[in-house]
Amino acid sequence: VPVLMSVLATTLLLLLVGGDPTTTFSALFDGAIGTSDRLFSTLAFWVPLLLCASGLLVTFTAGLWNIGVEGQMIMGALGASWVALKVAAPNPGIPGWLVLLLEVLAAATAGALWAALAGLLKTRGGVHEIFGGVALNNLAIIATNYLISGPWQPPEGGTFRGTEPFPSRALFPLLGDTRFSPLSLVLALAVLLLVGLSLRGSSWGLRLKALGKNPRSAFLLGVPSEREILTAMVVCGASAGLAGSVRVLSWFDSLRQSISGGIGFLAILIVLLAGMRPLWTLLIALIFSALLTGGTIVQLRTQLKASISGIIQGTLVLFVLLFGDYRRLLRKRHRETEAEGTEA
Amino acid sequence: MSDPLIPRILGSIIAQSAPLMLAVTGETITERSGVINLSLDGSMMLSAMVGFVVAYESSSLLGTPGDTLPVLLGFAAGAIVGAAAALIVAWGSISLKQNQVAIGFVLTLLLADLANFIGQNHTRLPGPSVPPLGIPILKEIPVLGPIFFNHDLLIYFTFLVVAVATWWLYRTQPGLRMRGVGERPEAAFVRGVGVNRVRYLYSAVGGALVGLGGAAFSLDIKLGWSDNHILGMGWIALAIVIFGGWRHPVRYHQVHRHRTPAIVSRRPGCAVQLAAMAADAGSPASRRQPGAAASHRHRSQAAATTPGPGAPCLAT
Repeated sequence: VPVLMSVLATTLLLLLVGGDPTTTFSALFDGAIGTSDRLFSTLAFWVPLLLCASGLLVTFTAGLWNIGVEGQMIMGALGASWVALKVAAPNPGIPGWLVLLLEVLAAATAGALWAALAGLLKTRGGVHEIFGGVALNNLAIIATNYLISGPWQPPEGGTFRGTEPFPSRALFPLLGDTRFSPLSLVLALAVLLLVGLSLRGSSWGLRLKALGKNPRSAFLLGVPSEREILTAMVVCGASAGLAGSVRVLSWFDSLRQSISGGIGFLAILIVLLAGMRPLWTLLIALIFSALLTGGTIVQLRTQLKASISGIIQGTLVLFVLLFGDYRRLLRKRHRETEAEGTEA
Repeated sequence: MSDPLIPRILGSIIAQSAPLMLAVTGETITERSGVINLSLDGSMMLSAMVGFVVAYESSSLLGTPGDTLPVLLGFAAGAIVGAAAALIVAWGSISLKQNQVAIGFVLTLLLADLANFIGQNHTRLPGPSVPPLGIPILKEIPVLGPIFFNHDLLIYFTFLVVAVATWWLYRTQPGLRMRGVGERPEAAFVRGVGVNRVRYLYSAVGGALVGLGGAAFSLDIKLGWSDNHILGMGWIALAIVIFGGWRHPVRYHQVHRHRTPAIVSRRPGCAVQLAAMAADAGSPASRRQPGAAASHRHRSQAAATTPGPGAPCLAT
């Protein structure tokens, strides 16, 4: 039902601004999976979304609102870029696989550290993770801009666009001419699988769940809440950092200004929509990345903003949130009235 | 004047802070009643867009030279948008009993996208704006004049709003009742206050102020409309609300124990100073950091021990 409502709302909106819904939706569809090229760019968006979303699965399970995922992703991108620029480029002797490994590790570490900072602010500084995260996001963006226009600017002079392209062996091997790298998809799926399994089957996952469901009783039962908050944040940050490395090493070939592209925020929506179920996360992330790539084609064809896909996603999640357990609510109300009836 | 630069800069800081002040005051009111409206950034975007478009269209419709009516209409439209957004959050959390943080967050993204989408045909247009209005004699005062008295009506109105909000919250019976609803909903309920009704009411009022703040952007501070027009100011406003120290609803007595020195005063008046600081031309984000860092620890504690202010609302 929420899906229908969201499509309906978007259609209404399109009519309102004088757009043609059928061409828009067909352009959206066509733009997402119309040609193999676009299909692969959908897949290329899917990978970082998946990585961020699997990290967020962990933090949401622990009841944390890790809005800082965006910044953690950027830091991951910075970490990978650092290896690519400062380690790989000056030393051509290092074999490609080692460079990639180092980059990925650096990205995960950088993301994890950034997340740990937000976690520490929460456990030690008493800063709610939402606000700490927002602040750290901005600091990450500022750091990127500084590096691009300052120390890491290309030798031919600073542009605000990005660093010079990394050496090709420092990049993920891409599939043909596309920007999609199968290796990164394998990585993302592995991370998701790992997260899904450990949340379900390990005592660590159980502790996180307890923390998320009822922090007070979890604390009373002896769950070391501070430590678990930190580990959850670190895992999420590492995962988001990987997403950042995927962005620089396969989507772009260098560090760019808008490296995150709102993917972290989108991943939050995905996890909310999926209700923290890994399999659904997989599916919804795919749909959302299709919407995202489709949106750009819509903009090209119909002169409507690409933010139309954001609207579809947003309304969808909103309606699911609002009416997700509407039926349960109705049933409860029904039962209450029945109970009153029997009393009377 | 011989050295007008510094007073002029200070004056422009005050002018720039008007939208933030409005938004911060609005959000403080909303949160004090026990609803957390996280959608600030999005609803400010949308109300900035709607405010500008309404003012623009109505001024071309009316065709009169005066800007006053269109601008007023724009502000009204912005306020309605803001109130509507806040009511969605309130409705979701109070009546549908859903997670208000989640709804607010989704709204943030959704409304920003909506604003960019609907406003796409109105980007970078010159439009009506609030006319400047210096206060005749006072603006001649050296130093203080350009800082405080050489603005437009909106700025004076903003100060009025902050003053009235402070007075209302702390010096009137309804204000007391409202704080009671936020701090101890059960107690307020027992005393016969309609908790949910009060929450809806103040969410709407606070949201309307947020909407005014958004409209103030496009009609007074940064004229016109463009993509991502308000540059994340909504997030800044959220941070200022905390920095301004809104005393968390449920765990209010803990504030006194954990009070950080940064919190000078817990009135909206404090938010004024901070709003002015944050609106400084310098990089806003770096100022956001201390704001976030100084937020209360009682907040996370309260969040940790209770399901959130939305949850304890009593089913009536």
